[in-house]
Amino acid sequence: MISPDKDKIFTEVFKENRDKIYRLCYTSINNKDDVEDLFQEVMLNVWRSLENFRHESKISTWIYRITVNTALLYNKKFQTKSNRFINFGPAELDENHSSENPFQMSEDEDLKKLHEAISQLNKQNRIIIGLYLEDMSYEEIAEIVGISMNYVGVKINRIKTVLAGKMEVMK
Amino acid sequence: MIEIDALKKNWQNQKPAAEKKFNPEKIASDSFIKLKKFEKKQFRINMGKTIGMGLIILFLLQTMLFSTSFTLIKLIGVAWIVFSVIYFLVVYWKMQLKVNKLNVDGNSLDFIDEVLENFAMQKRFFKEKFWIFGATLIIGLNILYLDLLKDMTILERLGFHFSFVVLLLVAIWGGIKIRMFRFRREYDPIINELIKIKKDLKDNK
Repeated sequence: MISPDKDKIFTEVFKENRDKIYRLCYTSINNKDDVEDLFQEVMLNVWRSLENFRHESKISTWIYRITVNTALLYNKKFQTKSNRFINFGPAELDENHSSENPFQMSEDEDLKKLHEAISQLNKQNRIIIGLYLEDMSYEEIAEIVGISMNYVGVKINRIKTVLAGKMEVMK
Repeated sequence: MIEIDALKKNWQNQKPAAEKKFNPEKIASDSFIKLKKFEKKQFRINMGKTIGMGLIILFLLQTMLFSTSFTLIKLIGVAWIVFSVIYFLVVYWKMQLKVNKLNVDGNSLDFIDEVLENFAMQKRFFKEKFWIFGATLIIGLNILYLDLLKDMTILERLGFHFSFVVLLLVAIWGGIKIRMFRFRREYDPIINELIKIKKDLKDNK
């Protein structure tokens, strides 16, 4: 892929998928202070892998695969200090970085409970339900995770029951 | 009973706070500029490391080739040590886990397999290959000392050779132990987690 194309595609991908990727990062890890680090790592991996995109799947599916794999391996210890200086956001936020968390999620009570319930699941289930909540089909989730479509269905039903149970208790 | 599906729409409407304050075009362009700066900085760091390493090698070669006290045996000994250190550093550096070198856009099960294989390779390197590195250092040093100790008696020379070999073996053994301890402390938690995830996903694949 020649550079101007890569630049253009990356900017488009970033604009179109930023929220989704951020939400999936938020769902994938329990330590919410690390969400920004994980998001940054995902975007770097997307940038570095862009040449490998073969248009065999939708670009959103491809990006989710990178997000999920980066989240699976995410560990603060793996990050070098030099990898940590990009704050993917407007320049103005760099100056006021300490005054506001730029990635504050929803204030909605039900969603708060849902976040809380999801945080009690194991990593693979958090990722699967995160993909499901983004409206990914069973087929796409199966393609991303590498399991059968039937098993995705079984797993999602189980996770939904567990989450509903946990949220009931929180009421 | 709470219906999770009913929350899907609201879920997808969640946006990071910055999104509400700034225009998406601006966020994308500012982020892109930062990414480019980051890439340039990384390139400069890597270039600096390569130039630094090159200068050290050049300095060593120059010292060896133009020093009058340098005999052919010393030259072979030092060159052997320098090249084996460089070779093992390069192998070790290439083996380090770099996510962007893995098939990060493949499916998760394949990705986990690849990561676990990479960790296993690193473990094997320290358990098995590091001894080969130690052996090459011992050979290099003994060649060097053949010349350095040539004025001593045969018994003194044997004593020195033996002491160096034992000292190096102990250092290598200690190095492997420390490295394995650090490896277990840093990577075992993530390896165990990945094995658990893989088992959970694969059992019902």
